Amino acid sequence: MITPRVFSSSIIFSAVLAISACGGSTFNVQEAATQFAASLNSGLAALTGASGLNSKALPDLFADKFLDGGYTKADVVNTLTANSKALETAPELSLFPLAAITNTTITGCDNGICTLNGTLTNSDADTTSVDFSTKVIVIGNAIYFYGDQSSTSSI
Amino acid sequence: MSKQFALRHTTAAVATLVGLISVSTVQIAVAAEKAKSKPAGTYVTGDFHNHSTCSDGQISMQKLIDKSVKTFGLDWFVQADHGGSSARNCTLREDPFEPVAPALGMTTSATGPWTTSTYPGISTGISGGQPASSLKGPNQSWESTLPGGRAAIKGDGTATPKAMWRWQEIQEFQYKVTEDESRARQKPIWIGVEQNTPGHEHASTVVLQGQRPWPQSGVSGNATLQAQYEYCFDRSDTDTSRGADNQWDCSVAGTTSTDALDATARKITGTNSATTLDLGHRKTVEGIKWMKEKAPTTSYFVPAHLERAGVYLANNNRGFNIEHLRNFNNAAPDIAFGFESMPGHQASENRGEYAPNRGASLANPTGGFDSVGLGTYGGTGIYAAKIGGVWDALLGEGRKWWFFASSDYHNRGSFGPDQRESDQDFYPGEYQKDYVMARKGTNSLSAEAIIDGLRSGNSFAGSGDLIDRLAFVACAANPAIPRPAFKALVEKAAANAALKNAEVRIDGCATMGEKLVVAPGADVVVAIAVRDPQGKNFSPYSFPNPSLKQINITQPLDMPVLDHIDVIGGNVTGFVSPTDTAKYAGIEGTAAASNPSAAIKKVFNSTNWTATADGLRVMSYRIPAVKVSQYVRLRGTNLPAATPFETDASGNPLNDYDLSPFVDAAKAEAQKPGKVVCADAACPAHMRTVNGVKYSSLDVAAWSDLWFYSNPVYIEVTGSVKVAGAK
Repeated sequence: MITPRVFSSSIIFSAVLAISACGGSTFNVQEAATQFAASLNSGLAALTGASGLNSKALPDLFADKFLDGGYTKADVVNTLTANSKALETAPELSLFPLAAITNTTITGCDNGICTLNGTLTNSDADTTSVDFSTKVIVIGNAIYFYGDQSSTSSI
Repeated sequence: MSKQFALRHTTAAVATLVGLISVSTVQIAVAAEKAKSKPAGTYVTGDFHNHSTCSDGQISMQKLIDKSVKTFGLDWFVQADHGGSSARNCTLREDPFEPVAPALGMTTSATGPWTTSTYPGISTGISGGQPASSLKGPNQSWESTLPGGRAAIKGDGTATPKAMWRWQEIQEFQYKVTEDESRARQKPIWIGVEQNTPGHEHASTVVLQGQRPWPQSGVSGNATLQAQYEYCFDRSDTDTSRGADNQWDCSVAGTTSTDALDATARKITGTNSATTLDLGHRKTVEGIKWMKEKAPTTSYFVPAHLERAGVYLANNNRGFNIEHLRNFNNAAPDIAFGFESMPGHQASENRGEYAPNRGASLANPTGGFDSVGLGTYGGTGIYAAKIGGVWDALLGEGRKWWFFASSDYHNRGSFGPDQRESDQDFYPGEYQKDYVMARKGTNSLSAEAIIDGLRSGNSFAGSGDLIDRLAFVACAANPAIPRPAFKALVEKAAANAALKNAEVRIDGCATMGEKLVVAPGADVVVAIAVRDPQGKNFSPYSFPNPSLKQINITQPLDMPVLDHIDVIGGNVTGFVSPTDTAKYAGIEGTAAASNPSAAIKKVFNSTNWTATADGLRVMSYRIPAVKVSQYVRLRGTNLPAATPFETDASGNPLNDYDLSPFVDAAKAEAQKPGKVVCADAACPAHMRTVNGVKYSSLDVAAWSDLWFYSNPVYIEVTGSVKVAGAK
């Protein structure tokens, strides 16, 4: 766990934040967000078949303490596993809408909890894009989904 | 007094029909088509049930088409008179230089009860739109207007003037009118038949094969197959000539109907009677099979106002019970795929012409029968209006069974065809519309695409232009996308689709008529976008809605506002076998006609939808951890829950007959008062008026009480029941 004291209260888009992490390397949170988005997009794109559904790539992007409207990391894993299993006997399974994340930025970091901003786009037939924000946590040299830490959901 | 047939007899009747129905014809469906391979389409408005003077309508085909596609702007139109025969030539136009009453100075009744003779011709059953005494227009007879006179009318009729069989009207005269009108107006317009359904009341039918409406051009088509269907399967077509030179044979390959064919007529003659129980229903099922054989992708059979004529009787021609709808759907699910449970006649004294003791008279006070449900509910029959009723029972099997509306236009009652008031019917497109997803090839809308859309279930219907756009999807929630982001994405997709009058095309989502296949435990996000159009609908009245005035809401009748949307859901438990009689057959309210799992799952209104300036209302909710196959469907209205005499505390529509019961024909009493006072100074003179007090009734009652219904989206959970009727 990164020592929270090294984070400033806010980080602007173009700023490069240099921190002292374990081992003394420089951590650039914006670069980490970009890498996170790339990993997420790769994992999402692979959700069209069993290989992607069974891969650890997507679950690994969720912090162990991820909690979002009552939804946990275990729920993410279970859902992916259930779909992989269902696909074995139901090739017509609808799977999920896929999307890609672009224009990622990190703002409002506080004690290692930051806000990831981005644009989510589906381009199956008619392009649909929405801007979104979600909580992420910095652990080591990477960021992970963190969620709103709420046990209940209003959506 | 209703005469309900004993269940045991109905049960026996069903059993005899089991052998005629092959349940194995039901397809095992696949999930919603991939987005990229799904051609773009738009929702187009139309009507497929209406009448000219070629049956019991008031006006010519041309005037009816003109009103429907020009005045009221429908995108497509099917002209569908009753089967049987008619003495009048509907292909003649009204004389444009002769004004029609009441422009002639003839008055209509200003106080109630009005007499049917105040508008000339109505009491004698002849059109007031073009008085027969004028010897002009579409009220003239075939006999007096055909070059060959009586000799040109085929068949063995002996009346004077001689009636022409409907098959000849269609084949030799009417089809050309629809094709010419279609090509001139550059809209898909074609001909169908409102079948006098053997064993039942009526059904809207089309056999498109052979017809060549716009955008087709060049060589003309024909409606020979439609005409043959009418000859073969309409119970009022008692011609035995085999269509004269056509020499039709009505047998259906591979069925057992051949033994029932009359040797001369080569069709099943007769219908339900005391000595031929269920014969009519059997003939109707054969007709559906015939359509499947002759025109499997360009036909449809849609029962009309199916609650109006009461429960089914094996020895008479009355209504439809659920087992009959199952029989139709089992026979050909791609042809018998729904019902018009939002009927026409919405401005009539008994809305939809549904009533208790219907058909009784002073001379025969007990001779009537109750419409099922004793009335319509927000203008819709009880089969679809009642949550957990017949429609939900059929959807609970996973059937392809869709909801439609129609004008059933005949006339405007005591008003002329060019007047805006009505105390009988609304024109096609004036009050009700069917909105159907049509995928256009080469950018031209075709009749085939529209029929495909009707069959697909990707459609919705409503009244009063309460909404004019709908995007409705269920999407499997992607666990790796943050929940708020996923919600925003599908809502945005729905909003974009509604703005374009199109549908959401995203893999992992399904829309109306389709199914979403998900793993057990999946979350499903249901997203909806509707447009409550700005501006006015076609109501000629702008004074405040009297039903809403009761609860201190001031809303002009011509500018309705969507109050709320109910999401109704139910479980899918699979097809019921015809051999399981107790679950297959029964009247409304019995277990066979019920789906107890159906309920309002979510209500959206101004507190929880997002409203935009252009009239869009966007909303979504999540169904967590689905475990059983199910469906969701929508209904919406301009009336809040608990509107007196209109809606109950849950927002369900109340019986329209109770709001404005008209004189019981069996009793010699003055008219009964209505329930909702129409106190505005602009409230029209033709309202029910008792002791000087006007009550909301007739067209005003219809304009006050607006609804829309969507078709369902199915959600199939793997390992649970398969939704066989949807893809």
